[in-house]
Amino acid sequence: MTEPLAQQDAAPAFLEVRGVSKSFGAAGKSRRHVQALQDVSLEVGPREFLSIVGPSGCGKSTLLRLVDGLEKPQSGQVLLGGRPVKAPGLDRGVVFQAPNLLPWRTVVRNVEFGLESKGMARRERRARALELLDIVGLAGFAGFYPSQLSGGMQQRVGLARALAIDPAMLLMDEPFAAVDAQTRLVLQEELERVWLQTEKAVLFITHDIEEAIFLADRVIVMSRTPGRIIDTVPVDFPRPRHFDLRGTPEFAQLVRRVLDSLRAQVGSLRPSAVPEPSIDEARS
Amino acid sequence: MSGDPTATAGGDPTATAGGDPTATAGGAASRPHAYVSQDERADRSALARLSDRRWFRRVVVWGALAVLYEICAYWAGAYFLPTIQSILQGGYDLARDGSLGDLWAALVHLVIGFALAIVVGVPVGVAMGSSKLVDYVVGMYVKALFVTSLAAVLPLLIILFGFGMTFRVSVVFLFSVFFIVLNTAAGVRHVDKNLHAMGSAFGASRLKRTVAISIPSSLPFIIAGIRLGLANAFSGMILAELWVTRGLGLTLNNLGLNRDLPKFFALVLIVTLIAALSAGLLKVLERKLMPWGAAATQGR
Repeated sequence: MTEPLAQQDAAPAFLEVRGVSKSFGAAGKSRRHVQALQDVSLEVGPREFLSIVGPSGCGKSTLLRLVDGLEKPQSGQVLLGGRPVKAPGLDRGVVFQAPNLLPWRTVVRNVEFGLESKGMARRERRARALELLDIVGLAGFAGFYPSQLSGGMQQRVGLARALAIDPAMLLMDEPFAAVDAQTRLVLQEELERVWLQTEKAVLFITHDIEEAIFLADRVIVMSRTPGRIIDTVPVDFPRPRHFDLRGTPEFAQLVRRVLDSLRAQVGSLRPSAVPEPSIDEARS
Repeated sequence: MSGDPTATAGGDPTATAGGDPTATAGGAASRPHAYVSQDERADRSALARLSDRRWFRRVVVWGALAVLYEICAYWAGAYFLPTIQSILQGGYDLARDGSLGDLWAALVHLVIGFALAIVVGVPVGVAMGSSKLVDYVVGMYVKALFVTSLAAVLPLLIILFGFGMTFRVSVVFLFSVFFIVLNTAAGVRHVDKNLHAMGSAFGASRLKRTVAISIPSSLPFIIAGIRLGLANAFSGMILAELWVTRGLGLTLNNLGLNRDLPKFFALVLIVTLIAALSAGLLKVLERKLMPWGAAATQGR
């Protein structure tokens, strides 16, 4: 179904995930066997911002690790620019949930980390890293150690590090989950501003529905284990988006739609609480 | 004192005694505790300020120990314990009769053996920590030798290397290398997995991840191992000397046999001082090598 659609698009999808399934633990009898992803297919355009929202443990992060090449799918394919993903590469920049900065390196040297693998000359690296620090609003902090920065600032360093290697795609795994609510709002606006400057494809994973809608061109809603796609919500608000967008009825409507899809999922986990039998009785 | 705002506050009963707050007559009658405790606080703060000083605490502790030792020395008699004064005299004599030259030679062996232990121990530890295969193959021997009493191996080493420098250097090496290997391996094994995932995601090769992530991350472990190894290197050095009974070992042996206790104590004290001093130097080195740790504590 998805393939002909992709071919019809004017711009071909940059990332294609085709019928991917992934499970952990021995299949069969084992209790620890977990079906993390089941037949997941999605596409991300070359300049598209795609958010994936779902309850914790729905395999969102597994999906991201598959796209990054840190894990391999049991069935299905992950294609990046038409070629299957085999290993992590510098065409994808990852922002992790924890900043994962090297505590013994200063901020600017942390941003340089990915550039070192690119074999860039030292002076060029430094210039590029400083430029990125400027973009994420940390111009004066190049010489600081990560432990001297707040959680939100550390996450900005992580973003700068991912952008520094100039990847075609950003993979973001709940990057703002660990910062406080006010900082998160600021970082979301900043991320959109930076993204509009750089024009990259983004796969953004979160469990925060408002965050997903505020940032994305399209929101994919995933079910609880096993992770399946249960809804795709296009978001057509103009950019750059402003904080006030959250107060509009259109925004609230989208939040409601995502919530409804998710709530149907939660209900289906508890058969006794679902009024399906009564419907059957009414029919008969 | 009439210009004092607290004194001119009219109806205040505590201020009636001439308006001078330090005058005890009126004030002590109405609020005795406040005045007494204030005086005490002034007294105590002088002493407290002094006892906050590290040098002051050290002088007190070491002074008390010296006095206690001196009492014991007089009580036991010179045949068992030399007095502090005679130990100092013994040290002076040692310096004059050239016995300290032997100590110097022994320290050179220590430095060579210990440097070898670091040069060999850290890479082996890193390899053991980052590769299960290496850990399986090499780790077995390392752990076996670690639990073996190395003193029991000394006769074998004498057979292998004779009584010369090679023997002493190898004893120092064996006494210190396993602490360094095992600590380094433990440090590398405990590196945050997320940092390695980050390294892979940003295209770092395995070698690059080892050099740029594993080693700096396990630096505190490595330095702890080096410090443990250093303490053991000193005991290895002395033990080797005592076995070959030449140079420093001969001196120590003779001093003990002749019951020349002032010199004996002085020599042992000098070795202890050097060991303590080098351990202190390592602490300085630790701070120099890990500025981010210092930066972290400054930030808080």
